[in-house]
Amino acid sequence: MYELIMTMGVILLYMLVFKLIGTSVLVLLGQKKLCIHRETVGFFVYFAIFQAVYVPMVLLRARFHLLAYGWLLALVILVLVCAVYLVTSGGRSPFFMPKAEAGTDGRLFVFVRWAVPACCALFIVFLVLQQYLGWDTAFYMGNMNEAIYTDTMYFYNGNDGTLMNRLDLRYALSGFSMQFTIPCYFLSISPTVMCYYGIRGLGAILAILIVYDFGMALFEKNATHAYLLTAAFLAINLLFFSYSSTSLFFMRRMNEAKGYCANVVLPMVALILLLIYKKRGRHLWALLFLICLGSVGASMSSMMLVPALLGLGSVLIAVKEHRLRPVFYGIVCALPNLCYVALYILNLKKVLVFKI
Amino acid sequence: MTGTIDLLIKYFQGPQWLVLFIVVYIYTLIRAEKEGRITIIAGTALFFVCIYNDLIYSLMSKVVESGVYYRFIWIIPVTVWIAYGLVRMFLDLKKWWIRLPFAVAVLACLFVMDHTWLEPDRATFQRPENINLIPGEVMAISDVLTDEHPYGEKIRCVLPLGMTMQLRCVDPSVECVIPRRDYLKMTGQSKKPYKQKELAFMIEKNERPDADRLKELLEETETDYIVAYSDYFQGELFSQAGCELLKKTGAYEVYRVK
Repeated sequence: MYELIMTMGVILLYMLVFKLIGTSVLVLLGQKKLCIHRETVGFFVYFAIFQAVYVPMVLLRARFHLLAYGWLLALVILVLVCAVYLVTSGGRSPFFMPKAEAGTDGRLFVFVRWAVPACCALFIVFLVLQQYLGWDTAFYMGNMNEAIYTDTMYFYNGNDGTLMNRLDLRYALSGFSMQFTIPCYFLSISPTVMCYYGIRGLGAILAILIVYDFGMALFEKNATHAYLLTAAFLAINLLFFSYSSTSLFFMRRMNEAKGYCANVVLPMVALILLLIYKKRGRHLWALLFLICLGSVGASMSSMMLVPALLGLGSVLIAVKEHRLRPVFYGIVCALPNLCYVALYILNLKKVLVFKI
Repeated sequence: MTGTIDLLIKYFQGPQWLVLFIVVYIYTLIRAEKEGRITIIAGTALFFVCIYNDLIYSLMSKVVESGVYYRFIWIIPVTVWIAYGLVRMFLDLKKWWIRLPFAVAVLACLFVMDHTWLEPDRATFQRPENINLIPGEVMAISDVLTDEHPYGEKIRCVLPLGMTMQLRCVDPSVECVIPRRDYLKMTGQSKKPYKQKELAFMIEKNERPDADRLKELLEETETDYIVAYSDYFQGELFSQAGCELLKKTGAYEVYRVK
C-alpha cells in the first residue's frame, strides 16, 4: 500500500512540476492565452532538460546514483527558477488554462463536465490494472531494477541480466526508464509498481489532456465539444484493438516508451502543427522545437517518427501559406532528433562505440 | 504495394475500422472549407508518396529493423480523427432524439462488428494477484532466491523462457544462464551445439542429458540455481547431478547447485 500511495504522490508531483515548467515556457513565449494544457508542454520541456543531464552521464558510463542526485539538484534549481520567473513576470495568473467558452450546448455542458472526467478516472484505473507483460515491458522493468541494484545504467541486459560489452544506444540514448527510476531510488518504490501504475497512469493522463486540447483546437474552444471528443476517443481506444494500433499501446503498453510515442509525443506534435496551421506564429514554432527536443527523452521511436511527421506537416503548412519558410522551420525543429539519429547510426555501424 | 497494404490491413484488422475511417474521412472532406479540403487531400497524397509505399517499407526493414515500420502508421491520428468525425456527425444532428439513437447505433455497430472481444490480447477486467501484477508463484520463487544470497550479489540461474521474463521484473540479482537469444535459437536458427542450447532443451522441452553431462554443463556455465517445471519430474536427474531441492511451488521447483 505504501508503494501505491507513494506512486500516486509521484504522479501528482510530476504533474505539478510539468505545470510549473509548462506555464513558465508559455509565458516566456508570450503564449499565455494559448488553449493548451500546461502539463503537456511541461512534460516535453522537462524531458528536454533531463536529456541534457542524462545523455552525457550515460555516455560517460556514470553511476546511477550520480544521475539521481544530479537530477534532484537540477530539478530543485529548475523549479525555483520557474517559480521566481512566474512571480516576477506579474500580470494575472497564467497558471491555469484560459477559460473555455461553454458553447451553446449549455445543458449538455453541465452533464459532460462531470461525466467525462469521471469516465476518464475509471478508464485510467481499468488501464493501470492490466496485467500485460511482454518482453519489451520486462526489458524496461529489468533495466530499472538493474539501475537500482547494480548502480549502473544499461551495463546489463534488462531481459536476462547478462553484462553487455558495450552500451546499446538503441535504448540508452533515451532517458525514459532512468527518469522514472529516480523516484523509485529515493522513495523505495518497486520498479514494477512504478511501471504498472505510475508510468501508465501519467501517460494516460497526458494522452487524455492532449486529446482534450485537440478538441479545443478543432471545435473553436468549445469545451462541451472537447469533452465529447475525449469521451469518443476513450470509447474508440477500448474497442479499436488491432495489431500495433495506438489503442493497443494505450490500453496495454503505456508503461513502455513506445506507448508514450504513439499516444503522447506524436499527438502533441500533430496538435502544435494543427495550431500553427490555424494560427501562424514564430512562437508556436519555438514551442514545437522544445517539444521535439524533449521527444527522444520520452521515446527513442520519436527519433525517426517526429521528423517524418514534421516534414509532412511543414510542407502542408508551406502550401497553405504559399511560402517556404515553414519548411525551414520544420527542418530546424527536426534537428535535435536528427542528431540522435546520427549518433544511433554511428553506433550501429560501430564507428562510435561506448565500451563497458 | 503488398508490404504496406498488408500492414494497413493488419492495422485496421477487420472491415469495421477501415470502413469507419473512410466514412469519417469523406465526411471531414465534405464538411471542410476549400482550404482544409485541399490540405487533407494533399496530406493524404504526401503520406502515400513519402511514407506508405513499398520502397520506404523495404528501406526501413533493411536499415533499422524489420518490425519498426508499423510505427509509421501512428503518424496518422486515426483514433482522434475517427472520434472527431463521429462527434462532428453527432453535433450536426440538431435534434436530441436523433442524436441519441445515432450514438447508440454507432456503439452497437462497433461492438457487433468486432470479433476479437474474447481474444486473450484484449484489455479485460482482471483481479490482480498482488500489487506487482506479477503471478504469486513468481514472487514466491523470487523470495526463495533473495533469501539465499546477500544483497548486491548476482546469481546465475537456469530458468524456463517464460520465467526469465517474469522473474527478472522483480529480482535483478538473477542473471540468466540461458539468455533469450539462446531460446530463440532453439527454434532452429542455429544448428551449432553449445552448452546453453543443451540446457534450454532440457528445461523447456524435457530432453534430458545424462547426470554426468548435466553436472559438467552446470559447472561450465557456473550455474547457481535451477528453476524447472514440476510437470517434467526432473528431480532425480538433478539430485544425481548434485543439486538440492529448495522449494516446490505449484508449477515450478527450485534447486540449488552444490
